[in-house]
Amino acid sequence: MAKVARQVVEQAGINVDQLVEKLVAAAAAEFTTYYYYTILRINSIGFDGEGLKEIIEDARIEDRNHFEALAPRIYELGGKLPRDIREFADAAACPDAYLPADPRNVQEALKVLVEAERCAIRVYTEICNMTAGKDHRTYALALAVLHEEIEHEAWFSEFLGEGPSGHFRRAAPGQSPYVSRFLTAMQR
Amino acid sequence: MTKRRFIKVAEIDQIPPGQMKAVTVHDENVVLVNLGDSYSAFNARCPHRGGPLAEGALWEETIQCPWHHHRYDVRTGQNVYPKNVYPTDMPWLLERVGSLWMYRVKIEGREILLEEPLAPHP
Repeated sequence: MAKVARQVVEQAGINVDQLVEKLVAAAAAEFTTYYYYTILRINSIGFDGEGLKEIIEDARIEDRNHFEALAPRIYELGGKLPRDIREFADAAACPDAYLPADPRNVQEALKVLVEAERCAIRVYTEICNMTAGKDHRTYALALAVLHEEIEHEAWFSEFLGEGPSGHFRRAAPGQSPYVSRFLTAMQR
Repeated sequence: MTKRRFIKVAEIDQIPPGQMKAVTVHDENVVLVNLGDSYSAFNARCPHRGGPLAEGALWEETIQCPWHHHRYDVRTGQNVYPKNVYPTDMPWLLERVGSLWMYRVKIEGREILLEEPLAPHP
C-alpha cells in the first residue's frame, strides 16, 4: 500500500474504502466484459458481423487494458482484488454482456454491446464525480477510461443507426489512446 | 369496506421536480421521486442484491443502483437494464431481475402520503 498516497486521499474527504470498492467493481466489470466480448467477437461473422468484429476487438482489448490500469491503483489505495475469481465476477459493476439467443442477430448483439458501454460510462462518471479535485491520480485514470468508454459507445451506437460517431478506427487494435500512459507494467 | 390509511412522509416542497428523497417509514427505507406530474415511492433496497437505491443516480425517470448498475423505471418499477439485453434462452436470468417494491402515493395539500401498511403493490 502507498501509505501517504492513501492518506492524502482520506484527508481530501474521500471515503477510501468506498472508493476502493467502486474501483474493484469497475475492474471486475472490465475483466468480465473482456471475457464476454471475446465470445461476441468470435460469433460476429457474416456480412454484418465482419464489419462489427474489428470494433468489438478494439473495445475488448481496451477493456482488458482498463483492468490492467485499475489494478495497481486498487493496491496503492490499500485495497486488493478478491482471491476467488467467482467473487470478483459477482462484484462486477455492470451486468454480464451475454451472447444473444440468436448469435447471428447482429442487432441483438449490438444492443448488448452498446448497453454495456453505457453502463461503463455511468460507472466512470460516478468515480470521476467522487474523486474530482480530491484524488488526482484516480481521477486522471477514471477520466482516461471514461474517454475510451465514450468512444466505444459511439462506435456501437453508430452501428445501431443512431447517428455518426465522428470517430475513425484505432491505428492499432486496442490501442487505448487515453489509458496507455497508465499501463506502465506492460508493453504498449 | 376497510378505509385506506395513509401516513405523511414528506412535504412536496422538499422534493423539486426530477429529484428524489430518502425517508424512513416504520423502519423501512423508502425513496420518493418527484416526476413532475406525479410522485413515485418505492423500497430503497435494490431487488437484485439489496443495493442502496437512495444512493443511486436518478437519470430522468430511471433510477440506477450504485452497486451493479441495474436500472429501473421509477413509474412502473420495472427493470429496464439488464432485462432488455438478457438472452431469451436463459430464462433463469430473467427471473433474477425483479421489479422495485412500489408503494401507493397520495398528495393531500402540500403533504406526500404513503398508504399503510407499506405493502408493495403492482
